[in-house]
Amino acid sequence: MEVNHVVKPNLQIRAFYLFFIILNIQTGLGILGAPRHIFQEAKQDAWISVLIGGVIMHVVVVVMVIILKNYESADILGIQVDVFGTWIGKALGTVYILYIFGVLLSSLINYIQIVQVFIYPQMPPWLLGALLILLIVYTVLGGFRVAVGVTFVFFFLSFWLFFFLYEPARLMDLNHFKPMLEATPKELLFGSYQAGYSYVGLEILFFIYPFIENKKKISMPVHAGVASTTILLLVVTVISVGFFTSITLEHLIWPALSMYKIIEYPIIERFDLIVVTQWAMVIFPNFILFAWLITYSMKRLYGISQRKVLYTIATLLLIGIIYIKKQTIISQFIATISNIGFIIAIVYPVILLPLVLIKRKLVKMKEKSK
Amino acid sequence: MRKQPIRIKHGKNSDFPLSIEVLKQKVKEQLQNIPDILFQQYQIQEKDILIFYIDYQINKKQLDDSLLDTILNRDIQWSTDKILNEVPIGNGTKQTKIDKMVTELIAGAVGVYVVGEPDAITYNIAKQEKRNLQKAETESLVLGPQVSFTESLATNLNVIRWRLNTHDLVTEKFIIGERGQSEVRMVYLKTLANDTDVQTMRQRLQNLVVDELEDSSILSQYIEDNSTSIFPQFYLTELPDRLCYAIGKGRIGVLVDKSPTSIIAPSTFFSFFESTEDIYMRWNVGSFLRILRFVAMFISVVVTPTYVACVTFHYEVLPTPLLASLGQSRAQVPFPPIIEALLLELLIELLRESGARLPTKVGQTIGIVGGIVLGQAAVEAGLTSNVLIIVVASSALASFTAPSYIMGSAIRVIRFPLIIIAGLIGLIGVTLGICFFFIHLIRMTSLGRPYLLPAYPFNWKDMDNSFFRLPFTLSNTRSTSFQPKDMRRYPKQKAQTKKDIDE
Amino acid sequence: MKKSLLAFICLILLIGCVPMYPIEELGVISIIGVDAIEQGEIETTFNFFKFDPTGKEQSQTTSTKANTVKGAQDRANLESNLKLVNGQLRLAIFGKAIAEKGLITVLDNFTRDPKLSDTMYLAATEQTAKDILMTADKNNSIQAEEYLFELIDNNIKREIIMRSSFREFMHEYNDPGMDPVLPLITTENQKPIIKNIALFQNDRWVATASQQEGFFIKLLSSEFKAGQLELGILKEPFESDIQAKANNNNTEQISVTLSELRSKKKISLESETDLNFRVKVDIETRIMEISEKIQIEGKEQLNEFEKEIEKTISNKLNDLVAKLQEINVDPIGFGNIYDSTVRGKDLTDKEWREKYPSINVSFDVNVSILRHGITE
Repeated sequence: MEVNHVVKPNLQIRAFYLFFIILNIQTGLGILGAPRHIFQEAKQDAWISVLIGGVIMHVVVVVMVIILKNYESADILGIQVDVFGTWIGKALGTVYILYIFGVLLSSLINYIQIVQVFIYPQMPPWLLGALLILLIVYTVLGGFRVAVGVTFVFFFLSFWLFFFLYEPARLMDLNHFKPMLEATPKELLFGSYQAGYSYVGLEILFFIYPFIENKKKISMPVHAGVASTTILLLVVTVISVGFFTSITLEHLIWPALSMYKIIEYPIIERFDLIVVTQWAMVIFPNFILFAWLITYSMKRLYGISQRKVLYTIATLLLIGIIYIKKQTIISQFIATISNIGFIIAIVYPVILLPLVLIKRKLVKMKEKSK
Repeated sequence: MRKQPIRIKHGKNSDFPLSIEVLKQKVKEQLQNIPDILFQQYQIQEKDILIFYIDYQINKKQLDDSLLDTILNRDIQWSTDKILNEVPIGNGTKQTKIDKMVTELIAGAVGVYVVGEPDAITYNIAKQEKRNLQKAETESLVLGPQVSFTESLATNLNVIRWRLNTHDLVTEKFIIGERGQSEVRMVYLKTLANDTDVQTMRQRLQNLVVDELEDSSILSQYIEDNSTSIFPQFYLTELPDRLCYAIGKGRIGVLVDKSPTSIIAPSTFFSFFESTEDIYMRWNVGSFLRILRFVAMFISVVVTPTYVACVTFHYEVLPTPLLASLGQSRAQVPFPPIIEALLLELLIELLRESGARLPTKVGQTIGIVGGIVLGQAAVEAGLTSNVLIIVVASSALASFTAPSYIMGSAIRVIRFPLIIIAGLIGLIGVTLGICFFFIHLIRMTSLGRPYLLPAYPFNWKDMDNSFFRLPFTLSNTRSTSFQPKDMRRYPKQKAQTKKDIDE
Repeated sequence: MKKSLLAFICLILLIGCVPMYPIEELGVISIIGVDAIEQGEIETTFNFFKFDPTGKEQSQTTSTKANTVKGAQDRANLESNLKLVNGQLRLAIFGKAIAEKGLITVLDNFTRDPKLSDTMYLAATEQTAKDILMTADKNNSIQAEEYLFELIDNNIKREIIMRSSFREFMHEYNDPGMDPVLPLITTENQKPIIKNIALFQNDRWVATASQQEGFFIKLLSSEFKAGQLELGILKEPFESDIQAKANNNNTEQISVTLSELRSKKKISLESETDLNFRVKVDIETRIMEISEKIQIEGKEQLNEFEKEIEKTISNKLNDLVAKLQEINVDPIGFGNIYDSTVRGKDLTDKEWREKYPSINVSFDVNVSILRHGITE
């Protein structure tokens, strides 16, 4: 397997799309539940946890960019092979693929569950699952550019939802934030850790780097994307903490969605329902990007055709959706994925960096001695 | 001196010389003995001259004034060359083959044969019946040039030349069709149009092997990128100003003989909602109208499915007073909402279709009768609720705002699957359906260029002139999406330094 | 071809997978009344409307007994040819018995149901909720579901009564150191009206406050944008200005109506150990009516008015807080302020109940009269 992966120019995208990819893939589902998890740890100082998490993410981005810049046009699969050798590299790549499949499955199940809880309690999960999977297959068949296009276009079709948070924001009780800075540093860090599920997805940068047209300019959009995620998460967390009492917030599974229940207009009485359906557009890019990642990585690692992989994961997803039904199991599944995600997205790049640097040094020294 | 070898050369595979009787016989045979071929035989200075033509295919006046007048009134011993020299018609050609000559006759030529000569002459004095330039019917405008293309390619080219009188204009010629041949012209500006696009279009036209071309709309379907899609990928227009505007922006036009519509390629999804009127209007009004059309499309696609979804599944979304009035009007309807909506949508489509098929005067009456009487009766008979009538009528009305009739029809048709899925799984179905259409649009291309330009791939500069319109002082470039060779339309006015209030 | 076949099969599979709720088959519950009856059972009264093309008598009222509200709804379904659904529930009325026992068992289930709106109103009554609903239903001059909802909605929007929405109730119930309040509905002349305010201790109704006390609770717990208040102030300082005697016999007080009253409050904890609270209330208002004919001239007189009104309001606030302390109910949220000011562990309700009677509150009311009508 080649370490560097040269992509045809007609498949490449401009760097500024990275902003939307990162923002979209990080917001997705995590943001719906994140305020609760963060609040459980850091209480009224949850917002500080979010900020800490954001700073950590920026550091991770810097690390990732340094790793990638060490190569001409490599993705993580190639880098792992370069650093660890073919066997371990491929094994690690497989772990990545499994993890991404887990993320994909968990977010799919999570969304279906939300729809079931909020709109159709009696709807069988496979129904919505099958429809979503059909759409995923149809999109991924269009290739990477289409996946990015969907991410980009759907962002504009759905981000207006966030503006409607002004209504719960108006009803915030500022006393909920007082007294400030009561949480211990440990609690704050645990809070940031709990925000993990919303920061999952950053690792996509490792995969799509070869697809970027102007590779020199990637830092800006990625940092902007991470910053926007942080701001968005911050806004949602702050409003949640202000809007709900602590007891309520600790028990709500999707505080961000529950907040929309307060909004009513002369023509729409229940805004939460609109939000749940529209949320399909927010998370759909996640599904597509992850599904595409799997097909692409399998091709890179094992040379299996993308179509075959796509149909296989579609089947696997459907099976997963049919068998994982219980709310508690789903929560546990998501928590597990979130923990693994924390290691893979945040810890792993930091470990990888010195290894890559050492390897590069060795290569250079070899070249010199020759 | 030079004539000799040519004659010998001809002699080998020439059908001439022939006697008059044989020639008559052969021509008649070739033409399946149609009764309309006329033979006129003259004897001038002992030379037998046969003039023959198909009666309705030629311009009689030209025949009399130019050909017969010359031949009969001069007292010369005529030969082929002399005729060619003397007759004041420019396009005389020597013919040595009967079948070729007959083809010319069909196309409107008159044949002249001087007995004993080794070849005949044909003059093309075709009479082409065509209508005059008329006001545009399908794409009607309030402002701006009203003239529309006709079926005659020559007229159409003439109109285009009239508007774009520059030596830059290329009108590449293609002949398409195996059985019935049609002339196709690719029109573009040499110094503007993107070479790749021109090459792609040329390739597609050259590679096209079809029986015959009935119309340019059929040609556009032959050369489309994605033939299974419901959305048209090339803009069809009958307005010369629209075609020339597009050509002036670096795009390519295709004209087909015998067809009053021209093809603009590449076209984006958003260009189907542009009308030239937007440009003729003041920029702010133009922008308003353009945005209005997008809103109309949204309404047209979404309103009926949403109604069906809400009434079938999501009663809690509706505010109580609205729910009460909806419920009251629904209470007497015996069908589930999905059937009710499909029924009414079908009714509206029927009205539209019958209005289009019937003669104009009757069509108008049908519209009014159908709209008012049928709707009223349907409500009173308890077949539909009156709220739905408003919903369906407004969405039909909204779909007619699309300047492109084909796009308007596409928008109306995609409502039906959306209504069905809304009736089956509610609002989430509507959302997924809309997702599907967007994904489909993102996947599509027009002449190899993304269909959803400039939304994706995103192009900030082209937002002007696709979603809205800026005043001309600000929009001085062509849209970059199609990569024309020259970006600038005119120099930007010197940065206007803002004057103080009373200076 | 294959693709379209696949799509077609999918569509076929969709049919009947999701249960439909066509609105014409629904009995849309808009109001419920909950009463406690013997043996822990609850009696739930539903007011629902069905859709009738002729537009006559739409709403119906029916009541059933069960252990839970949901169970009662299922029972009610048996008594009706319609599908009873609760997605449009706008108002829940609680009878005296259940309100005194505690509402949280019922309300907790409300929070669990995503179909229910957060913005629906809650109210209590001294009679049974069934009474109220039946009275409203029998009265032909009003439409029960519309009337009861508008009764509360309009008065809240006009800031005549205080908060009463489900969300606010739950918020105050869950917030430590704050107690909810609800409007009280009674029937008068065969018509439900709002009278007084129910004060809750946690989820239990313990006392009743008058309309005017309600105004002062709102003054201290939130803000007025355009409130109205009728106040009796001492007559004595204005004796000389009265130009014509009113024909009432009240010799000590003048009634003043303040309208378009804008208020802001700030409560701060001055001392943690002594539990001293300081409340600063700023009021901007307009004098609308005075019960005696008094010519308001000049600044001094206006100042006099302001001072008297301030004094009266301060007194009333002091009385109110004393009363609240006596019954140990804190709808104003002093405990909330305490909790958010004092660092360390979180305040529990129990702790606050012990501390609350001993808090000291000092008021600093500042009234400024902006206008006094179009006459001077």
